[in-house]
Amino acid sequence: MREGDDFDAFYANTSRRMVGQVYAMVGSLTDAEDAVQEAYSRAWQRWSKIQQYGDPEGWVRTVAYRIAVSAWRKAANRLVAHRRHGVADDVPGTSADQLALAHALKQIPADQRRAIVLFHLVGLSVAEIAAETGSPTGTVKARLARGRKALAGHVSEFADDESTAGGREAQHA
Amino acid sequence: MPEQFEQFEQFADETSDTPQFDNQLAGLATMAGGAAQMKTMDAIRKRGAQRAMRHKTVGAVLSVGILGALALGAVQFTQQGDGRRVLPAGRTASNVPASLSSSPAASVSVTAPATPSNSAATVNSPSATSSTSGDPGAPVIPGGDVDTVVRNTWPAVDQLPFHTRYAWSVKGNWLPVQSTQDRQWFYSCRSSDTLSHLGANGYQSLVYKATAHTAETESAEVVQFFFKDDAAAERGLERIQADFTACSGKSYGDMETNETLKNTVTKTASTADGVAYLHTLRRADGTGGSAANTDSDSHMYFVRSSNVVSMLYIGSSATAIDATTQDAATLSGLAALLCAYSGTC
Repeated sequence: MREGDDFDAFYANTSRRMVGQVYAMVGSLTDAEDAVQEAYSRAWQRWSKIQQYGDPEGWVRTVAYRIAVSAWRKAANRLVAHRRHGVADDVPGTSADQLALAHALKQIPADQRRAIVLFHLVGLSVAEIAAETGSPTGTVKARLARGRKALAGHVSEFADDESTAGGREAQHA
Repeated sequence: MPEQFEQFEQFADETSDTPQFDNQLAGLATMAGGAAQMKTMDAIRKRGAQRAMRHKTVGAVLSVGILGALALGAVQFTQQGDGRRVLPAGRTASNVPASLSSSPAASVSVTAPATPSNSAATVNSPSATSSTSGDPGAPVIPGGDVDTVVRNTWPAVDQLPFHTRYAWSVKGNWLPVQSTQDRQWFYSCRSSDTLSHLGANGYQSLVYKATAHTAETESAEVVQFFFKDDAAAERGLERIQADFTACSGKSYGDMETNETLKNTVTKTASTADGVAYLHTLRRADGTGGSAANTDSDSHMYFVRSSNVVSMLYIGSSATAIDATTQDAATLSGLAALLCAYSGTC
């Protein structure tokens, strides 16, 4: 298989999943689309190196996230989105529950949202999230715990965690 | 309930216990991915090519600018009758490029990487770098660079301390991450802008995962910081030591109990170009503390060789990593691995 074919297969197999993951992290489909496509174009430039990494998808995700949170690019994309649609972009066809979840995710800090998505959607372990985000494992755990706590009002399963934690605390007291 | 109460225990088993949330999130992401207007591969390639062209153009413009500035600087030297170059008033040898301040009689050791630094390369043998005597005016080329991976400089799993307990393994194919971008955190006593603070050009990093006693520690990491030359690496190591001196007086709050933790930084071993530290945070009852950016127990080793500083970090929530008897040997072992960079294996 030629090197180009290899990259084509990588792009075809992962790009839509990647947009979904980055969308969940940043809350804007336009930002996610643009950032992911820019990240893949950077990956293509360095593909001979990146394909040797244990996790090229992780490389693209990290680069895409950084691009998406870049203030300059966000401002530029907002202009593009306004030109295209005139309104902020939601994902078409989402259910009321999914819309509520997307809204709830937008309410929590970006670092916590990223950790929540990497853990619950991408399925990374705490150690892997620590490596991908360049943070110590203790910080990742704290972000996950705070994010779940912040989402407890919107997600019944996290509310269950809250009541369990309260119970634990009562026992300690 | 304290504001910062954290539920660390729920992550101990590393599995998600929220299938409904996970499914909803997956559904949302799938909808977003499906709705995305993805460009074709040709468009991605075109975008990459345009980006490469922009970089080349910017590089060319910068090069012209730098050459112009150098030429301007060169004419500021006055040429003496005996051929000596004399600095204008107000300039000292320290603020002049090395290639210009070298004495004509000086011999400069030049270590050339085996492969171009702007291409991906993995080098397995120290002989891939070579030392040669060069022109006195030639710039010194660093022994190690962030773009070239030298496999022999990375410890085998059984060369890491506490291997018997944690059974370290390397995920993937042993290829370190290579980066010139700063990240939030490398070692316990510095939590921001570490690369620029140390003066490093970039780093390579390899994570070793624990496969036993994973509740105590999940991973160890070896990071190699690359500097422009030996002197810069030496200064980098000095700054690391200064960081540890400074943070021994720092106050850490516990995220669960809100108490101020007992902060102890101990230099556990040192060599001419290496130092090891144990950094512990304890609650009043002696148990490990939960600070925001630091494990309760952090054991770190730093060694310098040539223009590279290598760091081994092991963090834990348990005291099993606090043993220091092997620290001197660990420093020597890490330093020995870096010989490929100095060309003196």
